[in-house]
Amino acid sequence: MSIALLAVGAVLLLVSVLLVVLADTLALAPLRADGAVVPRGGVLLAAARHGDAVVAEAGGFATDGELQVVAVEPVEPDHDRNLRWFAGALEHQGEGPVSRAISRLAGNGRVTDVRRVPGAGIEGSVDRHPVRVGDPRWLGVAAPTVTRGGRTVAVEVDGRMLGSITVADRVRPEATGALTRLTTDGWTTTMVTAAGEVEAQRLAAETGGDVRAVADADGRRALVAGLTEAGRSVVWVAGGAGTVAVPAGARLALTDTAGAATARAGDVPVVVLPDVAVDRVEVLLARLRGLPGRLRAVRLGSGATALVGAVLVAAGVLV
Amino acid sequence: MGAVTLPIRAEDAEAAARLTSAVRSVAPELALEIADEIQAKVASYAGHPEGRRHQLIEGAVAAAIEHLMAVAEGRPFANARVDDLFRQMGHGEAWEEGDLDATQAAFRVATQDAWRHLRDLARTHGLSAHALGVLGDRMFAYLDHLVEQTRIGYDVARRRLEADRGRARRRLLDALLRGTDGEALRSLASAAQWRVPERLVVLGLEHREVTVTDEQSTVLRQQVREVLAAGGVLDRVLVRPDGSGLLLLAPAPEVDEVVEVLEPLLERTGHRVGLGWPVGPSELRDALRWVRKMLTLAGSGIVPDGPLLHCAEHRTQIWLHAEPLLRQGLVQDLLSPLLAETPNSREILSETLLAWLESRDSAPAIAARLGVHAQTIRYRWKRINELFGEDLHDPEFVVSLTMVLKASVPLWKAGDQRDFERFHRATG
Repeated sequence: MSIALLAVGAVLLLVSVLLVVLADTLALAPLRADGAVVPRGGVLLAAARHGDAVVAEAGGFATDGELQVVAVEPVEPDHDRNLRWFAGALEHQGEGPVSRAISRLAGNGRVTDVRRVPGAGIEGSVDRHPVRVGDPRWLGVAAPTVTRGGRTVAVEVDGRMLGSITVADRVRPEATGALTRLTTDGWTTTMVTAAGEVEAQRLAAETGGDVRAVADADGRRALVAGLTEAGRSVVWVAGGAGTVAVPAGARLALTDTAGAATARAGDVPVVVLPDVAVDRVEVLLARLRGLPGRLRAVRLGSGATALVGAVLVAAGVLV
Repeated sequence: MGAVTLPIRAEDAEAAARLTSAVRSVAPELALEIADEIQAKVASYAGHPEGRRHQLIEGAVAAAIEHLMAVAEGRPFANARVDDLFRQMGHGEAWEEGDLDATQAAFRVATQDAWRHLRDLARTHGLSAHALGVLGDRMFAYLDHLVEQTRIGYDVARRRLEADRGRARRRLLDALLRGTDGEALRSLASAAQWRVPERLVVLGLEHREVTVTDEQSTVLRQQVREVLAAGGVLDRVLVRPDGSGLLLLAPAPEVDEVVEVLEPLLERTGHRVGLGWPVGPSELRDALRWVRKMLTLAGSGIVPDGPLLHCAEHRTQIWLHAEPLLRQGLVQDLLSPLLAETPNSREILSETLLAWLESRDSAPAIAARLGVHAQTIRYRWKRINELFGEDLHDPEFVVSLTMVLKASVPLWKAGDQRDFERFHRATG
């Protein structure tokens, strides 16, 4: 009897047992690398093996929560810079994302007599010129015809209408690249927005992706159901405090901390990410694709180790 | 001084009588000797021994001796004549622009001489030391009395002289401002004892308050005169009341000194002085008009106010505001597009237009000058072009526009709304 062979064989058997026990942990480690909270590996395996469609709320996924100016429309072409200057200078004194977006059009100026009118806009004097920026109806003009998404404010200087400025959700600069990589990895991505058809078209144009105007939760459920019926396996992506319930039929849900409670209320397994930015989702889904392979590798390793260990133990007894 | 009775004791009475008799017998020689002594020792009184001045001194001394003897003898003596004589002497000193130093020196000489002679005669006539002492005390007291009479005469004459000179100076000032020249001016200058220089500066001093009471005016004039006198420049300027303030005329080379003397008063009280530039006598009338206009402009806020307002620094504004009706007409003709704007818009657009017309600078340069953003200037320039259109390419229009804006913008900024009221009345 060889004590040495017995000892080595026993250690290898022990290692194989550990590999069996820790298989999930080892296989899921890459998914958790960015701070994601993931369910057990078995739950994710189906999504990893069959998932081929992503349905994502555009807000938070393709956009970053900030607004940006998407159009400056002066009443006369010569007033383009004047419009940017007076509105931008005044909005430095404003509050909220609309003001922040417009204020980026100009530097600080000599602004006095500022008054914020809740629900209407802001007024004040820029270099002693009276300026008002806000809801077109507040300024006595008709609301503009909707030709693009976002929100339009009118700008008045010296009591004369100078033009309008439209702000909308800011598209993440990395959105287009990440969507392309998802497609390359075999994912069909569909984004949804409740901001209407025009905004959906703008987002589609800016991201190069498929964006659909879906007004409510029913519409989202119908979209997911349709994909499911078509044989697609859907990963649902939505974040933020306003996250709606995960539509039935989704195989996996990705959300952020703010949306975790709502997402977990359903039966669908949920992965909680720091945020649901498209590039972060794309990396996670790529790692999810590798999950079955990693599990197989760990199990194979475990079996091989157990086999060698058993042989060594037998040899130790016999020798 | 009334009649004096010497308290000489009875035992000295006889000796005193002998003494006075002896003095009276030598009085003419004594007066002559004292007069000689005075002329020899007091330079101001030097002169020929037989000249008129010597005679005057001798006469005064003789009168004083006669009076003194009458007092010594206990006789009543009407001293009004002698007192009057010595007051006349003081009067004469004042008229000759002198002072009382020489007179006092002469009194010292006379006192010493008279005392010496009195002692000699007292010794000769056996007068007691007590009687001599009493006589000496009275003599000195009497001489003090005469000195006082001289001073009274001097002071009275000085006051009259100054009043006369003040009137003469005021007449001279008025004549200069009327443009008087030639012999008439020379005569007035001589009476005022003021040499008319080739270049003069008009100074208009105005009370800080818009509404001024007579008492405030009087206080102001009094303060200015006191300050000028204390600074030693009152004699060098012509001064007269002007409205609630004062008008001063100073020789050009001395105006800095006059201003230096006045400045602390101006700083302390808040009054203001409009200071003309040097002109010849023939231009004084115009200079006065400019100074008055300067004060009006400062009072209206059209030019920056301050204690000292130099007309030379605001010639253009004085010129542009010289004809208010012309300016008003030009405003209505040239600036009607601006007058139709809101007050705020009118002010900022006219300010910007004037800045551009004056400098022809770039938008950033004008923006820096006006303290606004360059894009604000570009916006205003677009508005200005909308208002005036092609006229801004007409050189004659631009020149007129520049002048009328230069005159009117400070006026509007100072709060004068009459141009706009006229415009709105005219346009309904």
